[in-house]
Amino acid sequence: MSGKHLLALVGSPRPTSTSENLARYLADGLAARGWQTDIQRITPVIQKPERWSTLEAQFLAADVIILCFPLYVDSLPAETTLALERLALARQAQPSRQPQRFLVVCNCGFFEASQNDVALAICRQFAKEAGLNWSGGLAIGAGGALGGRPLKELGGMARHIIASFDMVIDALHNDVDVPAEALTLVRQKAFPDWLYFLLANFGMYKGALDHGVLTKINAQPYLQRK
Amino acid sequence: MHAVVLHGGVRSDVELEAVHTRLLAAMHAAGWSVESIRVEEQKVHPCVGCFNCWLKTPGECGFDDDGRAILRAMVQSDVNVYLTPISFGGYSGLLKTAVDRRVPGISPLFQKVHGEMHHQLRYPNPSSFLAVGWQRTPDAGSAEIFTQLVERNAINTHAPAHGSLVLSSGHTVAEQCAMLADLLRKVEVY
Repeated sequence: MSGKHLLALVGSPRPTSTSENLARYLADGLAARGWQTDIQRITPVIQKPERWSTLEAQFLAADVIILCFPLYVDSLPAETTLALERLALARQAQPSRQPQRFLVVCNCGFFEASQNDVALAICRQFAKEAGLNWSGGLAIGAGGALGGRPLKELGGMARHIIASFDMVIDALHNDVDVPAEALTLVRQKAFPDWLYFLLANFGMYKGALDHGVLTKINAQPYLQRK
Repeated sequence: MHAVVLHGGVRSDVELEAVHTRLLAAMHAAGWSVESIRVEEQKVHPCVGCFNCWLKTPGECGFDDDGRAILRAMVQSDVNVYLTPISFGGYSGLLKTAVDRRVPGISPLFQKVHGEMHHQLRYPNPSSFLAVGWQRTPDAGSAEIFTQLVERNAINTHAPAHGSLVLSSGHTVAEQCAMLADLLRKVEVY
């Protein structure tokens, strides 16, 4: 056993999610190296305040904290923001603080990974204000292609993400900087943008068709002449 | 000009309350009609990412709470204004709860904007967008992130005009009033 402790926070409000699968891959990699790992979904903790003290204790005790979340309106989901606001206060209130590393993985449904950059900047600012050691932000675009499935089941489509994550796991385990290559590699795509664009729109049309609302997909229930 | 202000602070934040008062005064002085909504006093369930508002009940969230009325007010206004304490460079968690519920207001379908993938408009004539961030202690890095976030939001909401402003305790009342008036002109000029 390494004696090190990882807390992986999942910011997606969905019970099962791409964010959780990404967190699980990283947690499994460190668990295989002898780390104690915990994965916590933020939403149930925010909705049931009696769970907060456990999350806060895990946060304050972890050697490494990883936050995985989906991009919501160009930034973090609301409940994740609420949690970070409280966690920063908890960390600031500690009389003596052990060094803790903080790494973030943000995924979005848009093709361009760069659309996550403002959200990553917010997380970096959180690390600064909470006194955590920023270990890097990994931006994943075209998250819709991951389909909420475990990375290992995605084959070539996730090869670059797995390669990046393996570098991250090694860096965290050896307590060295995450290599810049890991941050670059994870932004790559396994397919052209026109194909993703086509499939993303097709997926929306099909979803609407399946629910019998294809002709209403752009309904305007709140329309009022201005 | 009709504006909806989403107030993402709490009443106990006396300094932000003063900014709120100055913001409303500036808007009234400019001849705008204003509806100010305190998110703190609304019942708004956080978005759960179910996509039902796109694929099951297009345009409407499954949670029948104040989030619907807030979105309706925003869609039907000429200008949407966010007022928020800056949280790590972003909006407060409180404001973000209401902002995330804007998702039914856009189309699930995609288009390219400046070479990037974005959602299409659901409604014609999108509202302009202004944001006022409040910092108790000035922080240039956090203020820069806030500015970038507003820029990104403006792209995704297809706002015809937009602007942002970061105020702090380092500004005098006169400076704040002048800066707020300048901000409003970004929409008026448009």
